[in-house]
Amino acid sequence: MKHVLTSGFFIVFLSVAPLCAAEQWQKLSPQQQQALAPLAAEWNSLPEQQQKILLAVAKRYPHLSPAAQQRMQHRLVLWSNLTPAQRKAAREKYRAFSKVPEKEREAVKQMVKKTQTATSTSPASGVPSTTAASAR
Amino acid sequence: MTTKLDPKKITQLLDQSTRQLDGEILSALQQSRAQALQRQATPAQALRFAGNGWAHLPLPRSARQWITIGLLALALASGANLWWQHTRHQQIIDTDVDILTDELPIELFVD
Repeated sequence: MKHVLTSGFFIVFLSVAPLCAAEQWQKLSPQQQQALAPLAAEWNSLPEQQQKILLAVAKRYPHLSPAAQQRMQHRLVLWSNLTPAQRKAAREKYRAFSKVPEKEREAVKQMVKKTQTATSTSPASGVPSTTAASAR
Repeated sequence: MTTKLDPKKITQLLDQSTRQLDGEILSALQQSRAQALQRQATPAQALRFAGNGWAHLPLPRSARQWITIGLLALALASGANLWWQHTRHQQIIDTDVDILTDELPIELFVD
């Protein structure tokens, strides 16, 4: 009977364990802090679930190209300031866009590039220009 | 002509007539009976699980057995739930990394 009860508690623990994962900024590893540097000021106030996702995103940071790393860091604040519903909608849009044939996706990319070059407010990568970033 | 057939009488008559049969015929008859029974047994076994064969499965008798089965069911449900959560979490992470690093500006996907 003892074994049965022990395994019961273990099962309940396993189900609940993933929910308890909040971490303070000071407790993050240097690599995690580097990847999530733009969020240093607001990290401790972020919801646990969001922290969990961002930590998983940060894990992939070292494997990204320098350009992708730069894009990610520039977008992190905007991304984390969105409401959960906005992020969910953005993910759905992105997934839907990913299903569009490669040719059409490339055409959209070219169109966006052209628009961005014409307005020259931000480069094609989606990374705001240095002047724009410093002006904020 | 209505004759009532008594099964016992029929058996007696058959037994009597078999006693009169030749030994060779008798053994041949026994062999073919055994073969027929064997043929009948095979599909019957195959059909057991397809029909109400599950009804023969033993049900838990003690409270301990019920608890064990309940815990096993709980473990299975928890495992499935964890797996589903993990898969969903991975999908979210994949998409987030893609959105954050894509060449296309993030504003394109944000309302």
